[in-house]
Formats: sequence, structure tokens, C-alpha cells
Amino acid sequence: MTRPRFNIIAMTLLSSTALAPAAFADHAGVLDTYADIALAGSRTA
Amino acid sequence: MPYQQTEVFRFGNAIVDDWEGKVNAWPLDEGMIDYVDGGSATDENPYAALNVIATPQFTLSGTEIDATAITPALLSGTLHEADEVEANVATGYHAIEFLLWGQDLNGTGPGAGNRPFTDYASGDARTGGNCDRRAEYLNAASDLLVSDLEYMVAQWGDQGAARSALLQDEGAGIAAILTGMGSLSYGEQAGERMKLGLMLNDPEEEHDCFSDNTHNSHFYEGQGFWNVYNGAYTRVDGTVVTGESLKSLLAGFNPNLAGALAADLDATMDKLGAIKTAAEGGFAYDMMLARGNAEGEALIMGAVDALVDQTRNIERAVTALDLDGIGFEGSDSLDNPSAVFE
Repeated sequence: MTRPRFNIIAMTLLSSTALAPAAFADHAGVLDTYADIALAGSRTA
Repeated sequence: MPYQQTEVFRFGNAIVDDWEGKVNAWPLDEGMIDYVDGGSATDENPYAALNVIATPQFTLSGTEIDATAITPALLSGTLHEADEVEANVATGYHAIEFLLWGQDLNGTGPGAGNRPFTDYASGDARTGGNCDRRAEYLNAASDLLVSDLEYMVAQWGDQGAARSALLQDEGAGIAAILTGMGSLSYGEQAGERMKLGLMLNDPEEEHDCFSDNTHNSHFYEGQGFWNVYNGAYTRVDGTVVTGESLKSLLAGFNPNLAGALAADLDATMDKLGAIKTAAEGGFAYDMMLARGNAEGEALIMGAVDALVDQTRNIERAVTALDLDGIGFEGSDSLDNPSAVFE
């Protein structure tokens, strides 16, 4: 059975229109944590 | 277990989404890979019964293909999504799952795929035919999966493209996190992976239909939301990666909402855990999909409803963080159920 894969491009364009509240600059660690978890989870061991 | 917890990174990070189809594409027309019960070509997919393991030479979209050697390049460059049909999945977890377990011919009854180990044997013990080529395929697919996973490790490394794209702008980065959580919660997991299969009562719609390991897939997908929101991930060796969390960021804007979303994610894990416990007790996910099985329906819909509930608070988080403009993936099974049967 086939079904269309979700088109991430459309959503990325939507996402890119989001404006960053100034308060986010104080929370850059959130992004670091997210990327660190992505890295750790991507490893197979 | 680790891979399923990274599915939350797919939506919102284009690098991950572009790559995901190599490792986790499903559903698949497994007859392209190996023997199946009663397989045949279809109008939608003329290669649905190709059985490349038994067919070293064939014509694909008008081109003569030499498949005498089954290599990673043959799988990724020629067979995967052959003839532009997405069900021609030649690589990744589910192709390997099929090569190990074989078809599950039990429908919504007890039992998973039951491929005999002698499909990989030598001498008189051989079954299934072409055992050497089947082993060659399994080796090639496994090597390819490892290299694809290594690629993604590099993307999230210190100088990796996925990390760099994320860190480019704080607002867009936070938007990417919430986009990933919302789209996987709602359209993908609650919709395409869970409610759709229940509506169709179709065991082919379960995510791990060969191995009957779907309960673990769904559970660890749910764990991925929890990890991202709470800023913590437990590796397979028990060590923990932790840091500043999305929850703490949201709490600075709306502490009540931050707590409510945390409670939602915990509730989702309870519901997914109930499915996992039932499956490990012998009530497999494909049995839950059987028409008229009230207990199975209640288990699955409990998790679907929890995923939808958490999505509502993810949407509220988007608003609270002034990130309006984010869209989440939908699913006909949730948004337009009558279309599923058209």
C-alpha cells in the first residue's frame, strides 16, 4: 500500500515565518539540549 | 529503542525528514525483495512481486538491471522506491525486519512472521531457495543501515548541518522542536500509525507487521516527546544526556501550561505503556486491530486520544511562545474519517 509522504517543505516554510521573542536568547541551552539528545539517540551504541 | 526515540526529530528538521525514508519507510510491498505468499504484480506496483533475491536479471522501467551481486548501491540506487513507487522499500529497518521474520500470515490472530532460519542455511537444510542471495541482501541492507545512521550522527555533531540549522535562529529552532512534536503526535502517530489501522482493521497497517514489535515502536516514539520536552535522554547503557529543557522555557511564559503539557506527556506514556504491557502478555498489536475487539480498540484509542490531547497543549505552547505560523501534519483518520473509506 502506498500513501503520500508528508511534505515537510511546506511546514518548514511556515516555521521559518515564526519570529523569535527576545526572551529566547536567554534560553539557547534548550536548542543545545535538543541537538545533544538527537546526537545521542542517533548513535547505535 | 534509540531510533524510535529520535522520530520526534523528523518533522521540523528537513535534513532528518529527507533522510528518514532510507531507514524507516513503510508500508512496503515486500514481494519486491523475497518470496511471499500469493504475491503478484498490481496496477499500482508492477514490481510488487519482483523477488529480486530470486531474480538476478530483470528489466526495471525499461532498463536491464544486473542484480547478480546484491550490494548496498543496488539497494539504495536502483531498488529503493523503484519505478517511483514508495511501497518499493528496499532498505532500512522494515526491509531487514522482513528478511529476519518473514511475512506474518496470521492476520489478526496470534503469531508474528515465522521465517525459518533455514532460509539462510546451506546444504540440504536450505529452505526458501536462493539462501546465499538472501544472506547477501541481509548483509547489504544491514551495512547500508549502519552507514545511514552514521550519516545522521554526523549531522547532529558539533559541526553538523542539522545542529547548525537548528542553532541559526532561536525562534526558528524552538519552532522546529514544537513542529516535530506536534506533527509526530497528531498526524503521524495518532493518525497514520494508530487510528488508521484501527479504522481499517488491517494488520498490514501496523508499523512492525512482520515482527509484531509495534508496541515497542509506539512506546518509544512516545518516549521521544517526553525526552525532548523534559530535556533528558537515557542511553542504552543507562547514562543520561540532560540540559536546559523546553519545559523550563515554557514555564517562564506560562507555568500552568508547562505543567499541563508535562502531565499530558506522562499520560500518553501511561496509555502507550498499557499497550506495551498487553502485547508483552500475548495480546499483540495486530490482534488489537481485529474488527469487534473492544479491548484492543480501547487500548489503541486510549493512546490516540492522549496523543491528540497532548497536541492541543503543544498548539497552546506555540501560541504562548508567540510562534504562531507553525502547522502540524494531519491525517484523514482524524480530520476527515469518511475519506479513509473512499
